[in-house]
Amino acid sequence: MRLKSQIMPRICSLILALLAGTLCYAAEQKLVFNLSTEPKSLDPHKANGVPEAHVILNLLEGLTRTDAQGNAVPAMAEKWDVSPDGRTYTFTLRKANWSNGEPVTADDFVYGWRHCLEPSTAGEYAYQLFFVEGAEDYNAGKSKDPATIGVKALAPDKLEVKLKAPTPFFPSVLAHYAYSPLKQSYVEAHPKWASTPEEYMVNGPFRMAEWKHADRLILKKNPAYYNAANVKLEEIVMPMITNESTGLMQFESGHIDYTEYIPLPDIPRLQKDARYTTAPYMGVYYVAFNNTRKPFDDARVRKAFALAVNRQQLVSAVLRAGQIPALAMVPPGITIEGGDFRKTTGDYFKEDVAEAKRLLAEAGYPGGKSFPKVKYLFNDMEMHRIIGQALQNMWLVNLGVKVDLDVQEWKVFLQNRKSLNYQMCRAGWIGDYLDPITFLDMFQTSAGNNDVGYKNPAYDKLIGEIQHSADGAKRLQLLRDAEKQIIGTDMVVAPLYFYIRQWVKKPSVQGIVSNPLGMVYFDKVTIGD
Amino acid sequence: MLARIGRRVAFSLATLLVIATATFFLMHSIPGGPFSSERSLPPSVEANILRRYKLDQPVWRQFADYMAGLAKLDLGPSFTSDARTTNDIIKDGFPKSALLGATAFLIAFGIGVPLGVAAALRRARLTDRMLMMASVLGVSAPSFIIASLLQYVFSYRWQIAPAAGWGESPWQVVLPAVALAGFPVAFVARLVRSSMLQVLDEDYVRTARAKGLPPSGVFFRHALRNAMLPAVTYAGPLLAALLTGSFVVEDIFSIPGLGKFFVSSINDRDYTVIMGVTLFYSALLIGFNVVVDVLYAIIDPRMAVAD
Repeated sequence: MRLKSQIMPRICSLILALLAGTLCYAAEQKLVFNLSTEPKSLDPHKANGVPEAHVILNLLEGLTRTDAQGNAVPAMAEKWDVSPDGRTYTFTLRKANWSNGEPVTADDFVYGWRHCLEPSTAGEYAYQLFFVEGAEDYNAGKSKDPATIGVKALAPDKLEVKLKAPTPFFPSVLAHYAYSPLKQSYVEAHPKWASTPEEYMVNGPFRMAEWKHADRLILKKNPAYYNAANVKLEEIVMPMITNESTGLMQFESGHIDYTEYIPLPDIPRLQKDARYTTAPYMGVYYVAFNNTRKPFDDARVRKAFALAVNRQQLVSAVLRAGQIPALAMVPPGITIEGGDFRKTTGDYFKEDVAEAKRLLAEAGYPGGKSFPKVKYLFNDMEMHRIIGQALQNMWLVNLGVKVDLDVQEWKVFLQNRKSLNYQMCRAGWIGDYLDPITFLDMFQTSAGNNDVGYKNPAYDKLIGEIQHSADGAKRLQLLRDAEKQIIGTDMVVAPLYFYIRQWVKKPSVQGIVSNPLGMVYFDKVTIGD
Repeated sequence: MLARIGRRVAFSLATLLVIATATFFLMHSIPGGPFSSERSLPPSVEANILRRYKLDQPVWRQFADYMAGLAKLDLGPSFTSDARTTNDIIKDGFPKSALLGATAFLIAFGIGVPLGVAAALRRARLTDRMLMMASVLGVSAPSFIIASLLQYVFSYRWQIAPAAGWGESPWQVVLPAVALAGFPVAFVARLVRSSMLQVLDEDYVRTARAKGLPPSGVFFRHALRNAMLPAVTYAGPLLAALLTGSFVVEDIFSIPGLGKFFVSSINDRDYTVIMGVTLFYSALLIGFNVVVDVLYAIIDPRMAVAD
């Protein structure tokens, strides 16, 4: 009897423990996410690139973050006011702490942004801050006085930001990690903080637990995060599997839960799989024409080439992942003045083989006769190659023009494209923020990314007006005028399709928030059964 | 003997110097730089980056700085990693690649030599024919085919080994090492077989047999020792190549080794890492060749006499 009374409670508690154990195990809050490559840096002001963003955005939080559509939502800033001229923002910070217990203050933003712009930091993304008054001059070393940067702490919880020009999309720009705050006293005392997991101070939902270079990163929940009570995920393991086939195999054999890197040949098979998803991405793929050289210095020839491509066939038969045919430069998904810019604006041209032939004849090449020898240049990647072959075939059949394909190594390709040493080549552009201007301002005469040699003073003026316009309705009209000029009128490039994102994910993983800018947030993730 | 080694070491250092100079100027002559990308940077941002990495200096100046660092064995910062220097990259990656490479090397000699000997002793019989056929397969199948095949069978069909990663399971060493060993096993077997056949026809082997030495004595003391010479010659460069890793195998099995940097550093124009891995590999290669020379003298006393 005595024995029984001793044993029974023990057995009961053992059963309970086992039960609890299995329950906990069944819902272990751990996510395995393929990061693909080793981040170049995890210092928010030196880093650039996709894997870096996936890590930093979950460690550090700026004034805003973005939702699933890419629109700004409050983060460290609780709310903000904008001056009538659209150039001064006043942010009210929420009560939040760094992982070492110190409060996040307005001074941390002033210091962080200055650190980003410091010439000696030499960060690639310093230019993300160039919307701020005085930022570019400070970064260029034209001003040595950090007080000339338009960011000021009015009070520990009040931050004032002065902009160069009215920038209606500024709150969404702020979600970029280049705008991360840093605690000056801490950073100066720990110069290697950004490369040492145990020193990496965070104010976001997760902290860095382990960094095995070129192998894996492990993040763990940050208990000091202001919203920690609502973060269910305890751990994120990020193996760096660069080889896409290996990554997919690791997913299919259950070793990883989520990967965005999927080999081209596997897409048709995966489309029948419920774990595969695609979503819009803020990017456009296009054919760049060298506007300065014959035969593509003639808008009629450029149009003929653009109109002779069957984009639906290209995306459904060649790429096969649900990309969206593009008859304009700005992708869908940008809300402006209450409507989707692409939907409310419409397209600027139609595919039309007869019209393409007519234009080519008008330019002096009837039926493609006496058309000079031209080459289509692309960098050495399977996808670009098959697109090049499809285009080559369409131009031959529809225009009677025989185009040669020319492949180059990536950096050689870039150099040739930059120096206009090509006739036609592939190009792609990913938007930095949700506003049409990010797809339009690169065609200004002096823009560093004007790789097509387009020179049009009227267009430059139009872009200048957009950049200084505080009137939403007028600005929208100007944006449409600008896009119409480069596509509808001049066809400086031939848009082909709008990008998509794609991933495979275990059904048990819920709540990953990602958006068309490619930002991925893990704080709302739960792992079900 | 010591003088010979001393001469070799001095000569080796001179060779390294030539390699460093040639590599430096060759890589600077390839178009594109470490910071060019789809999106060009605003001039001020680009100027800051070039200044930070001293790429704004004339090339001869960069070369002088690099050589001064090299003299102190400082291989410089990596342009693609803020958290690690080139020295760190080699320090982190080499032990992993070396473990795989050493395993593959042991497989290559541990299996290749007995197979070659077996084939030679059973010349023109079924064993010989089967082995030589298999070796043609091994010599001609590239490592990525073997790697993918192993991955498919062990990780995907049977699911007994992880397809990728490092440090969690012995399979993560075994599969890539087998993939790496495919070619050398077959090559060593063929080398040993042909030199064994040659040696078995030599007069001194016949003499040894005629003296009435037991077959095992003839075989081990006289035949095998001489038949190993070509295989030992091959062992030096093979070991250097295997220890420094393979891009293809490390990429497929996602191994944080050194091998992938031989390709990625060039794609990225990561100048300091290109220099670092090239010199590291060269130093190993030259070092092992010196060792092989010494081994020659031990295996074949005629070499030492000739010296």
